[in-house]
Amino acid sequence: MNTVEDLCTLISSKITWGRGEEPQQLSPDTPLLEQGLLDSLAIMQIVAALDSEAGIVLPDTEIVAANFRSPQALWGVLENIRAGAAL
Amino acid sequence: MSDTDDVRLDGLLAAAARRHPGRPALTAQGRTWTYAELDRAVDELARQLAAAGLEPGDRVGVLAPKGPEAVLGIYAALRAGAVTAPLDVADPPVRTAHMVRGAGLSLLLASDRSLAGCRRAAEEAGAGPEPAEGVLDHGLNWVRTLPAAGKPAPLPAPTDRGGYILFTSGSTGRPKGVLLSHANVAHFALWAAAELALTEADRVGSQAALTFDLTTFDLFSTAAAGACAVLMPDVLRSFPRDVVGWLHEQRITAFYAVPSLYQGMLERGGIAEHFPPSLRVAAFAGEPFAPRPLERYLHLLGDVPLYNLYGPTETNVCTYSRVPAGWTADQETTIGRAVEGDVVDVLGEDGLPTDGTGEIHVAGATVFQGYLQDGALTDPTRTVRFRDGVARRAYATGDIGRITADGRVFLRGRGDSQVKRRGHRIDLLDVESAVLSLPQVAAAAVVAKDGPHYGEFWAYVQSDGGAAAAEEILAGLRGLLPLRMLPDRVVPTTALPVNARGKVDRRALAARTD
Repeated sequence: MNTVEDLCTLISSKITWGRGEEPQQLSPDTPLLEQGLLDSLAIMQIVAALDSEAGIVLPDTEIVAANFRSPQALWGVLENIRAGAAL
Repeated sequence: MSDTDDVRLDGLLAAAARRHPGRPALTAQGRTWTYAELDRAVDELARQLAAAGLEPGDRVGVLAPKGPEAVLGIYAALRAGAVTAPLDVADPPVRTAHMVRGAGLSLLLASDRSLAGCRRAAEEAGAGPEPAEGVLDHGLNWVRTLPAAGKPAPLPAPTDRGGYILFTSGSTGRPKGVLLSHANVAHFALWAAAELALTEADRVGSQAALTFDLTTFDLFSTAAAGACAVLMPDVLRSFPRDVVGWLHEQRITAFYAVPSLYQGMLERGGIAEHFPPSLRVAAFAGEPFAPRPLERYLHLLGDVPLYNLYGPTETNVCTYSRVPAGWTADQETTIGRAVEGDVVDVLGEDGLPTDGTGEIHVAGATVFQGYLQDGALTDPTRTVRFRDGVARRAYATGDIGRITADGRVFLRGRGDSQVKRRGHRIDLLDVESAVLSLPQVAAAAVVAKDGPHYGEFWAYVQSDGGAAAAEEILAGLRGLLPLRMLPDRVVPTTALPVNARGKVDRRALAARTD
């Protein structure tokens, strides 16, 4: 999990894509919630995958709509958590 | 006959506008409408709909994201005399088209944001590539799905001058339209407003989709009391912590939601540490509340009443119980007694009232008119003799339970293929039909899991494509079913197990751990 693109890939793998929707269409600015791409199940799966695949534990206080509105928004949170852990 | 026979849902709004013209009626997306403003807007929209060719008795779908447009659209269609069906913009257009055709919806109302999806659904429903459409006030539009000549005849009374349709998962792969009269919904709305003691000072938090029967409380009980309906933004629904924050910010006083949302707020939303002080009454429905979190809530709520409301969409709420303050997790929970105006009984396999376990039957003011499906109205109710000797038109809920001598009902599960997941009612055969409609699928069984995956349902599919096939099947289902109905897992298998009678062994599949 080194770049926001890696995060896009992770999020994309937790979304059930319909026929004709290409997972790689996910960009850092994709409005995930506005487009209805994430339901509560997908959100919990993303949180679990961040823990198991990248060792990042997202505290409950960060699991809010503002942080999931786009991959970029979530990436910002992850960077903050890592900066906090490195101190 | 009951005293709510003449009440119209849009009439509740008009009456509140006369009593409380200056009180807030609706808060959504940062804007508040007073009762006078809302009622005037609804009147004008109803006039515009009539000018666009809408006639009383026509069936109209409202396909708009949860917001002022959706509420205005629903009320305007009701006032214009339409049988009105809230629809979900998150549903795939193919499924919406099934609803349009199945229920004979001749006109759709869409907000500017949902107009493109609405055109797709209309086209899919057979309206042709460029259906007739027009612009209305307040960011609403109409799209015609059937030409005036092709409209279905008005429904029989009392829905010949309007009504309400809520869709549920059916066993045939087509959503079933539950047809309710104004009086059916109004009876519940007035009962709930009185029982929960709503007043014009209340701020009712509305979190569910308008396609969900819970929201008949949010819209119509609120109007009956002259209270304010506060619509929660859709994007917050998956974030319990945001819901808790929203309850605080909006100073919500009355809240009605499914147990999974209450549990999410407890486990991940921080409601125990940050309890909304404005809340003065709470209610839940849709599925049983897990005992331990329920006990937790009773402690948090203190003197705030918590209601357990029960009933399928076909009857809306038909039994209720205020959870006793001293209740603990080691006690049984009851869904309570029949609401005023309804009679509930439990019948055994012989069709006679039983003191043992049987099927819950409901008769009375909230019982629906019938299903709208495949273009026809069918009434599944039948005349049943209850234990008091009176024969009544009753709906068999499919829920299994027992009833005590003092009329309290205890639930024991289902007698068929229907399951509840996160408060949503899902017929597994509905999901199975969708799986079977995919070209690459030869045979399939969708089952509710036992054991470690209890609460999930999986699709076992006869296919030789392995993991790639599972992905592809899930992608195909995404185009046919709403997200809430997708199986938790698709398991490709070379053959489905069969039992001694040669039928697919669903019990064996349910118990399998892979």
